[in-house]
Amino acid sequence: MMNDPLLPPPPPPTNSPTKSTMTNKRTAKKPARSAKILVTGLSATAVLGMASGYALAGEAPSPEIANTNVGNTNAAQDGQVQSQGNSSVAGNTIAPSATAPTDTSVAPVVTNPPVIEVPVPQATPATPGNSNSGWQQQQSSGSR
Amino acid sequence: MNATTLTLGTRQHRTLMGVRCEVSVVGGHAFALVEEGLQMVADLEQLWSRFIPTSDICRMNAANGNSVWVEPRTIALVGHMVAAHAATHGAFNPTLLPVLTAAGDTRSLIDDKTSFVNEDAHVFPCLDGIRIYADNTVQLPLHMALDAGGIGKGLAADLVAEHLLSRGAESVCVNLGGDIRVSRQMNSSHDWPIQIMSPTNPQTTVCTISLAEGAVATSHINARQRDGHGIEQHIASATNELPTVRAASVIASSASWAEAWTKYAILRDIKLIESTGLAAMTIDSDDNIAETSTWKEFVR
Repeated sequence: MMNDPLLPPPPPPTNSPTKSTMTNKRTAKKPARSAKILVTGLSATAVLGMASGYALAGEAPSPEIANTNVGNTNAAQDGQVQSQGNSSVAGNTIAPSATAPTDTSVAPVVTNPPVIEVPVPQATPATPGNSNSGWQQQQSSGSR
Repeated sequence: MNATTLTLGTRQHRTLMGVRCEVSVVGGHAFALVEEGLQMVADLEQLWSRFIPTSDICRMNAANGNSVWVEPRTIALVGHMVAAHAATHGAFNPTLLPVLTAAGDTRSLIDDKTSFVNEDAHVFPCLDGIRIYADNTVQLPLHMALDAGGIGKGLAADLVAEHLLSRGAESVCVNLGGDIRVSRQMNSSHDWPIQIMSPTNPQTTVCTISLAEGAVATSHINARQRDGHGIEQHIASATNELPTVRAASVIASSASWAEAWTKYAILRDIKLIESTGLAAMTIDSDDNIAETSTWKEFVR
């Protein structure tokens, strides 16, 4: 059978198709694995970030802002606004537009960028040339 | 025939900033560079014209004491204005626009554009109130109005010349209505002959100078009058000084400085200019010429 001329020639040896398939399988698995790692990492980061944010927010001295009279003043006039004001106090968040009108003791801080001095080279003498004619001759006549 | 006359160069001109703007380039890609230079002047005109409402100058003047973001080159212009005002002891003053408009100088000399100045604007003898901030904003004092005028043309000539050299030109000459800046590469021997024209008869040459590196600016009191338009006399001062001569030419390292010192020469004298090492020439109403000793070094 090995050298039978009637039989078709054996297929040419290939570079281990099994290996190649395995490699492809591995490659095909990698994105999913990477995605899992990525999602896990992002989730962990998000949880940590949120936890830190809540912790810091809890330490912030916000009750004074929450106790401004905006909500209560408006409450006497408008039930809806009262509701908003109360919920704001409870949540330690007040819309800037609600606090701004009555909180006159705090002026908005406007910080200007630093004033700069523009460097200007000093005037120095020019360098004379030699030519007194030619195609390049110019005329200086004063704003014409 | 010497090497200079064999050197290839080209020049083009266009009406920009209200005057004839001519850019000449020797060496490099001369044709393309000339066009690039003219376009750069056109861009600067959009920034500095008092006849274009969207220009940096107009926006600063209309800001009512607030700070305005401007292009970095406008920051450089304002810096040059402040420095020139200090160096010339106030003879150069960029806040004279209210005086000019009150005298009737409200229309462009080349088209129908008009300039507007707040009626409360007035001349400032001191520029200390101008604030330039690090974020590219400028704050003018309330009621101050700047006019780029001559120093704007001079600085434009300086910026264009420097730019074209950096782009490979061997030697360049930028002429903005008589404010001329020439510059060349270190290894170049090219220079530029310049005719100083008479203020009374623009076709007559008073003298010819030659510049290898530097600038010359000529200013005369009738420069804002053309073809029956404009005003008779445009040189003013914060202290009501009157011109002592009819025209002045100053040679310095840059066109912006040369232009600023022409105002000093017209309103005062040329002694201080000589003491700074610069060269100047003045012509009075009787065509008498006065010049610094350094002026002769440039005459050919």
